[in-house]
Amino acid sequence: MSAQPAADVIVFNQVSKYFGAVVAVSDVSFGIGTGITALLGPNGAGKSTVMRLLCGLTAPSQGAITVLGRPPRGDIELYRHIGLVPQQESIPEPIDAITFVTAMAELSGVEHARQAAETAIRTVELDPTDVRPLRMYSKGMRQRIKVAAALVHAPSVVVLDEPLNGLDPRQRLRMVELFQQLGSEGRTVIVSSHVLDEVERFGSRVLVIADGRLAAEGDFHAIRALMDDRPHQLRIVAEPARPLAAALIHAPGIVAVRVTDERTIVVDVEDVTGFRRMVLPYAVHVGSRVRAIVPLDESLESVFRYLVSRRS
Amino acid sequence: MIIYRLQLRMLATRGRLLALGALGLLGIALAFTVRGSSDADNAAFRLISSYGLAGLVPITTLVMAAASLGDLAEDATLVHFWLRPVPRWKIAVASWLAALTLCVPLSVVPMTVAAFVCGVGTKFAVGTFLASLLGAMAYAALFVGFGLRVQRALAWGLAYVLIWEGAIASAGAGLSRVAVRGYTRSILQTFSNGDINVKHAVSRPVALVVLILVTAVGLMFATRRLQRTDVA
Repeated sequence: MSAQPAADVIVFNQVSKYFGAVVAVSDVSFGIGTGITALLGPNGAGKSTVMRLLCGLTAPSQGAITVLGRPPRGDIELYRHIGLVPQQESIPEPIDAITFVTAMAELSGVEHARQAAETAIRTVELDPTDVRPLRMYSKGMRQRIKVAAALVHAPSVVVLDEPLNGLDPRQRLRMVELFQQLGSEGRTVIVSSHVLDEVERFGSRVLVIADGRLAAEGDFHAIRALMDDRPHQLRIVAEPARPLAAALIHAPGIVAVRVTDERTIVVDVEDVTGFRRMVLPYAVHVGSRVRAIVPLDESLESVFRYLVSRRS
Repeated sequence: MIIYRLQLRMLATRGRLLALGALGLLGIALAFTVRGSSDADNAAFRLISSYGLAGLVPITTLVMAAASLGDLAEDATLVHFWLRPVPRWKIAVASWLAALTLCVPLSVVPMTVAAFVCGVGTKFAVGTFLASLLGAMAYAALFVGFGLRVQRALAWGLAYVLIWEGAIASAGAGLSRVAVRGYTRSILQTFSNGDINVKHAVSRPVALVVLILVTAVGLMFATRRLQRTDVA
């Protein structure tokens, strides 16, 4: 795939990143414009590395990255326009929220730093007058303070690495609204997540990263359809298993059938719902009793594996 | 200035202040055993040189300076400071200054007080202050970058202070030239009374210039590490 047009705010062009012998990101190219883009992938897929690369926190081993037309590694003036919520919980523990966020505003050259910090802290529904040191904050509060620190200088590129971790459902809702608002203001917001339903809430363009590669891209519904297209694997516990397996081989919508023991059949099907409706009449017909039908590959990891294998 | 203030607050933990403060007080207490002794000049030099310049000053500086950027990198808070439009040299210098600010009351001042307590004259106390301060500046500059470069910097730094500076570098003229301690001892000697003999000593101007150069090189190294480091 080639790089995207110049209108993109963030451009990755054939970017790879190795850590010793480990390939974290492999030949990834994409372009991201304004609005929200979600980076979806299982843990360890390379999402955080992509985010670190686009913030210049680490240099690519190969390829080129530009953010607002400039390479992010080493261009400190560019950092005025980038706000990052890192995945790690770490924040300076001995100081209080207003001191931390004000310091971040001052370092970013914000003119009325204290005022900007108070606004940012209130935006994430925390109290700027809270004098407790940050070490006393809960996981959710820490997460929100990181968001405040990332937004305090009104950056045009907002990078959020698993920003909903540790938040309760109400806070998640509030944060999703906030990110949507940032996107609608014309900023470039990139949010990573390993939870499909979370990404659905952003209602955004999605880049699927798996095994360090770009597995798919498009709007959420296109990605969802792509995922639903794949064959599903089910385990059927039936007594006896062999006659049912023999009958299912010729049934419509069946991709593969394997008998794993006297009571168990593993089938690959195109349509799970259709199969569940169809299997019982077949069992009655051959005199088998179906005890259970268990999906084997519903984890997100299996979905990503499918997308990667489909692309390669 | 903001990074300096934040670094001061993050470095000045109660544990560090109490432990290093106690070591400083111990130095002053030891000085009372020197006071009034028959060979006070030599005993005072040995105390300040061995306990202060070879022990308290480098160890206090190591604890503070290696933690200044090293702890931030280790607990992944460095990213908050790093991803801001601040020249890297300013981050390095602010961290160095913060470490130095804490090392002065924790090591330079106690050693200067100890020199006074020894009762061998104001000139010796001034020499102690100067040698300790220049030593703290040089060590702090070295350990700021070292903390960013090396994991478990405290352990490696202690090995450097105790093994390299304490043993190997004392072994010969050539090796003593690559140990900060050789220069701080040289400065102290030039302020001492009586016939103090320091092996492989250099003149005061040479020692001054070398210690300032080491400080500058240390800060340049820390700046370069900040530019090149992979930030988590």
